[in-house]
Amino acid sequence: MSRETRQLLTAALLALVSLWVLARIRFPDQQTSPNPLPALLPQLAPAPRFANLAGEIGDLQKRLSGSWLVVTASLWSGQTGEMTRRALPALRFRSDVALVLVSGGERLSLAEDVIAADRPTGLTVVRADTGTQNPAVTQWAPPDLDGPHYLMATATTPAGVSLRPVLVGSLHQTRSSAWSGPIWAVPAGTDLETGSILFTTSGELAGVATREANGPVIVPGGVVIADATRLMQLGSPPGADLRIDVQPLTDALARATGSVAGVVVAWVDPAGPSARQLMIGDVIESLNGRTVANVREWDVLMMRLSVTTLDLRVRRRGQPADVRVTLPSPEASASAASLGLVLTSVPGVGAAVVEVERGSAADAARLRTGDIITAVGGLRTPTPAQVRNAFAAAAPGGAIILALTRGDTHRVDALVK
Amino acid sequence: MMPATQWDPPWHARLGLSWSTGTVPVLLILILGSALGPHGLAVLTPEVLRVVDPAIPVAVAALGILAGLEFTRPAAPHRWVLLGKASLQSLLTGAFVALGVRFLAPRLPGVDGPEAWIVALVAGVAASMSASLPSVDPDRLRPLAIRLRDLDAIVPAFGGAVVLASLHAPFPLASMTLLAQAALLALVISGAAWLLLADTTPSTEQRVFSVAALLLVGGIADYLSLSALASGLLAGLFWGVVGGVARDCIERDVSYLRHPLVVLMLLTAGARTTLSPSILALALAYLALRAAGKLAGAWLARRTPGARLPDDLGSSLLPPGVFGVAFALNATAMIGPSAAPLLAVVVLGTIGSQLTAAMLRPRERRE
Repeated sequence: MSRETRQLLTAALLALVSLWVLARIRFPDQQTSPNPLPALLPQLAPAPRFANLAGEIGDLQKRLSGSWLVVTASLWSGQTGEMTRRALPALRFRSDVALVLVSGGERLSLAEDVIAADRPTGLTVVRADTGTQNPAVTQWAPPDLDGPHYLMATATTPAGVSLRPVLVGSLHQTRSSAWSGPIWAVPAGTDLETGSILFTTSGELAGVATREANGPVIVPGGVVIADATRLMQLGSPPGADLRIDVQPLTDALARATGSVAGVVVAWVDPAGPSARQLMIGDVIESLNGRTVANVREWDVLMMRLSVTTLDLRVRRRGQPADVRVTLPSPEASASAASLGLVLTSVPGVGAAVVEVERGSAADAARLRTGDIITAVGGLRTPTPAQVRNAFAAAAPGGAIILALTRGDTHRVDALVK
Repeated sequence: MMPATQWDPPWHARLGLSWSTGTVPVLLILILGSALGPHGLAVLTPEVLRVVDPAIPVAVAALGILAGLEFTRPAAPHRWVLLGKASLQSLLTGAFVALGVRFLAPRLPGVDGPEAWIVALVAGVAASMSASLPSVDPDRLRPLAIRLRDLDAIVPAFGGAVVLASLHAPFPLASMTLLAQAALLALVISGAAWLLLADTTPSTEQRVFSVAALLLVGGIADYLSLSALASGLLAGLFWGVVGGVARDCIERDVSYLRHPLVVLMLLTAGARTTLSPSILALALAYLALRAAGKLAGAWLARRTPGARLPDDLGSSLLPPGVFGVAFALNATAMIGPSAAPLLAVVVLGTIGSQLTAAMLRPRERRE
């Protein structure tokens, strides 16, 4: 047998044996173990320093400074009834117009500069000085929502607006009834302040930070600018108050009422516009043809309402019913502004508040049951009649000043007629 | 035929550890690449490899061009006979390896499934080639066994192009159309370079046009995700056939670049090699099947009519050369990350083949 033949037979035998052996082994999936050795070339490169980061942020700040301005305004909190003065960052989306985002429960009290405001979102369009050239800022389209992103958030100080880096762990696209387009929910612990304008590290507009019921969110730049433009065209919606309270439709209530979606009427003002049309326990399923899925949607619809006739689809005792509620016109409401206080005399002290009527001047001034009015105008220890007379004597649109004692604290408020 | 003692390389060249005209230390560079790669000393990190990646199709195309020019070299006797015998043994080797890999595929993680046949065919094509860097000396008449070995990349290169084209078009007619378009583009570039070089006299300008043609041939194949080896081979055949100034310029300039490009390619292939029990097992099978295929192919080639070949032809065909690794690297880039184990198998098989070839050296030298 020649050497060539021997080699061939040996190789063929080895090949067959190796195939036979390997075919009897099932190899498990094995993850590649990470290399314990650190990469060499990156070690040779100069390490990034904090000074580099600060320099980068400084450059970005200079480049983008024309796209924002500071609005110093008084904010009225609907929850505490208090006014605070704050400096807010405003995004200039046209050379003469900027937008500010405040918390949902806050309102910007800057009457001469506010063009329009949307209560559900806190979006407010204000006038801006035209002296600054608006730089062209492109809007960010994140390539990957799941990955972490470094964004630059505006932080307002008395000296102006500065940028600070914020790490956003991930973006989860979601919808909100208050915004016209999708928004991005971010992890709960993300350090974002409502109203902060967010940019990418390359200077693209990422959006504006705010909060929704489930936590912090970023409203993408395109959505917030589109909503601000629409708000500017349509003006501030007057909104409406049916003088009712609603609550979520829980599973138990859904079974009891036979409704699958809507909000449950929990209280109806006997003197309100819907006193005869709505009953406690009704489930409001739609308003003017628009489905009402939850309390947030109901609030948004109410706050944006610009008509006085409401067609409600309700479910009452398991049966569907159509209800029409006609609201008084805004002018009539304004002219009918009442004090709205039930008072009792506290001799030597003043007048104690027994009840506050919803929607009244006293309600607007956040007076509460138990407050004691110790002075009204220049009159000390007023009687209930003196309080009512002082309010009645004020001109429409005018205000009276009164001093209150609430528990251990003392304060001064104004009642606007 | 020249005496065997004149072409039988020394031990360090047989082991793939030395550098001489027409050879590269394949074993040394592959091991060096693996040591410097992300799984070794991490000098070549994945980021560095991504930067290097665009040069790989150009390196593969350069190999194809040199092989095409080599085939059309004037005054090469028995060219067609040797091509037929070389193709016979390479097809037999390719079939052995492809069938063996396909047989083992269900046992291995990540290789089974619809891509199993593609992986098997790519492994078969890579294993079938033994050709090394072609010699640039036109006057040197090498032994028939070595010439046969250097011709065995031509038919597998075109077969590999068909396999890679089938990745993009599942139907044979569509993949053939795609292949024809790529071939047409390669020929158009070759024709344009030929016309440009024919009317250019300063060597500096000629070099610019030659390098530009090389970049275009490799770049177009990469853009179309088709075989850069086949595109380069076609361009090389075209320039070889038309001859003249174009052929001389291309051969001179591509030969000037071939060593840096091949080293870059082998370093990249080594750096991309990962090790796992399944890869080692498949590499062992690849090595055994390739050796059996080459020896069987040599046995068959010697018994087919035509030029008389030496008794130890099989030993001459065992060295793996550089074309197999080049094709595997090219194919891995086309298929995607899922084909990374395939590249590792070919690299390990190449290292093993080089060592096997050193052990089974031609008999004349040992006597």
